[in-house]
Amino acid sequence: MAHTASEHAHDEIHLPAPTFWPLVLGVGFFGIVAGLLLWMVRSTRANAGYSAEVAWGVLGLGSLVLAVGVGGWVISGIQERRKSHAVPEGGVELAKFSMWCFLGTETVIFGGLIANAILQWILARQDGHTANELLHHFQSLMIVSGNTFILLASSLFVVLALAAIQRGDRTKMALWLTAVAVAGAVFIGIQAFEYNGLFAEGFTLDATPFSQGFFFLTGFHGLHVAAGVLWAGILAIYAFGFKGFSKSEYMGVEVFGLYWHFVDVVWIFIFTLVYLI
Amino acid sequence: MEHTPAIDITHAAEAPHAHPKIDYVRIFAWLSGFTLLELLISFVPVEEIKIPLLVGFAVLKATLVVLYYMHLRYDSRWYAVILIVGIFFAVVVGILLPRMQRGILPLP
Repeated sequence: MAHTASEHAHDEIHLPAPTFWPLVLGVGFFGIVAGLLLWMVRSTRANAGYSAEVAWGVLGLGSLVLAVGVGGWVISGIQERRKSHAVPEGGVELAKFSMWCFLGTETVIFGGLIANAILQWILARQDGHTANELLHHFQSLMIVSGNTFILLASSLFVVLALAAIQRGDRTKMALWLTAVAVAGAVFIGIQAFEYNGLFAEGFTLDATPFSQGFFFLTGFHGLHVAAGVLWAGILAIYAFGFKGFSKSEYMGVEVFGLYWHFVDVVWIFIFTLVYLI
Repeated sequence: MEHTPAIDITHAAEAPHAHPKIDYVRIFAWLSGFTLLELLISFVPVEEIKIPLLVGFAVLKATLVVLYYMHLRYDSRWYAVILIVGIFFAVVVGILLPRMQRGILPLP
């Protein structure tokens, strides 16, 4: 039986066009890792042969390249989807499928990091120490609880943004996305403040195995929040400045929402398992 | 002859569609309420009571977010399968990693 073009289109898996943006993103990641390594070496060796500013510079440059890479990739992906409306209907939703696959792998990574933090907490208790005593101070708990509410609220903003564009209200969607970016930035700011307080108390990256696990876990999560802030900002700019997204084309917002809610879910577990228990 | 893909990803998730009307603010209110409860429970001195309650609330909150904010309740079951596989491997890593660190299992 002969098939029409649209019938075939439904059965095909649409592959995105080749793009160089992942390479840019990779260079950015390399810069970040190189900067962190330089900083670690500099902080442990006085005769490292370079100043701390060099490490921070490489880290900053890497972050900038990463930001450009993420932004370019997101916008090129959205533009491609807009151009290729001949793409099968399902092709658009493959972006969602891909995001779920990504989140599946992220679940494994965060599972390992959370398990490590819990293990170090248990081992420290067996040695007679309360590893997360500092995190249990009333003031610390209030700070981190406030941060938790901010992240939960930001998840609400994301679904409100999605609901707005599903109604065709692009301006409201862009405003909610801006709110998400601001909430995420505030979360990172408060986390930096929290870290500062912990450092002052001697709870540093290399203080104990638990502190290592704690900073790797919360830092890695913070990195995800930072990427989300960037992403939300790009989507808001795209909506405000380029009239991006419409009542029938909002997959970019939905996929971002999946990512952001996942980051929220991870924090729900970090908040309970690392701070409260 | 009809042609059906082995795994019908495209059919599983058709064109963008609005999800059923969900009261997102009410979900947020539940999440906030549970968080406040967790905060209060964290001051309970008996760990045998505190830990199961806290873990239970965390799972409940995460489930609410995944089902309603991530729309897993209304979306394709394939997404749920991916998530379950991810959680399975996360549990495997969570069980194996501590054993490797403590030398019960050899490090790769």
